[in-house]
Amino acid sequence: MMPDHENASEQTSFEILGHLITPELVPAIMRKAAGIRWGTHLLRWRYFDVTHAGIQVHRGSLIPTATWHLIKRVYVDQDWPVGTTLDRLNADARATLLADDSEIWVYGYYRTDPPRLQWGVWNATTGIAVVYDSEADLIATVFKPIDGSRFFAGQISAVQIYRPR
Amino acid sequence: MNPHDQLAKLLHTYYGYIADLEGSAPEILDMLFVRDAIQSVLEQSTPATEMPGALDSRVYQLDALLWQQRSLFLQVMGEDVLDHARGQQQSLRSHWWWYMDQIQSPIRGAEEVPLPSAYALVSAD
Repeated sequence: MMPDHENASEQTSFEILGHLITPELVPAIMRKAAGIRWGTHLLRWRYFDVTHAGIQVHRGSLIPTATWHLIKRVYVDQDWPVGTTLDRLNADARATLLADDSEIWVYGYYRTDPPRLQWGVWNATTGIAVVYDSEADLIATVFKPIDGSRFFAGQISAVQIYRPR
Repeated sequence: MNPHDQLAKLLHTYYGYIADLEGSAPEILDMLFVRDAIQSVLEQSTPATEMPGALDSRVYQLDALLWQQRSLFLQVMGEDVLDHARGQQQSLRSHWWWYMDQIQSPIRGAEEVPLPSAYALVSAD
């Protein structure tokens, strides 16, 4: 079955959600995303108590966004090994964003009104995906989707960006 | 990874979504693929690789917990996004997690069974 997402392989520029995506814009977005900025707000930790790097995180406590993602990946999903630091997770995200062999997707995030543009980058070798909100200049998540790029192909308005080799 | 370990790992990820649907919003579509993968492991199990009852029970309890939170799930996922993704997958109707906006109740008695919190489903690990 052919996916019904658009593939921009023959396009030079296109518009999505009112944003013009040009060949020059894409590497600039990836470089900016590679700065790895997490939201500064706090998220509630709704899982079990965790001790990470000598710090206890209790169920129900509010913790920084980046820490939330780090300990979820390590202790809940178990996709990163115990002992992984935030610097390591950020380095993995940065490498994913900048790797020549990563797939790049752009799509609409329709939970907000109006929908926001999100960039998804997935590397088949590592299985790591990064979701970047370019409007806010924030990393939305770093994780390992079980079915790889099908996660991005399934998003509304998803377009895979052609990367010349 | 053997099927037992594979299922245990998948259940951790599934739990991670169900225990915090709101916090999982940017990744929520992945939860449906994870549930597909759980189903695949279950369907491929043979008498020789039969899953321990505790894992089977955990699938049931997490499913029921998801079902009880279906309104929140639909809100987080967005019915348009679910409809769009489902159209791409051409998922089997028996894979009810792709049809939570359309079906009445996939699990007999899911509404009545008192469930442990999602926390309790993994806290013994």
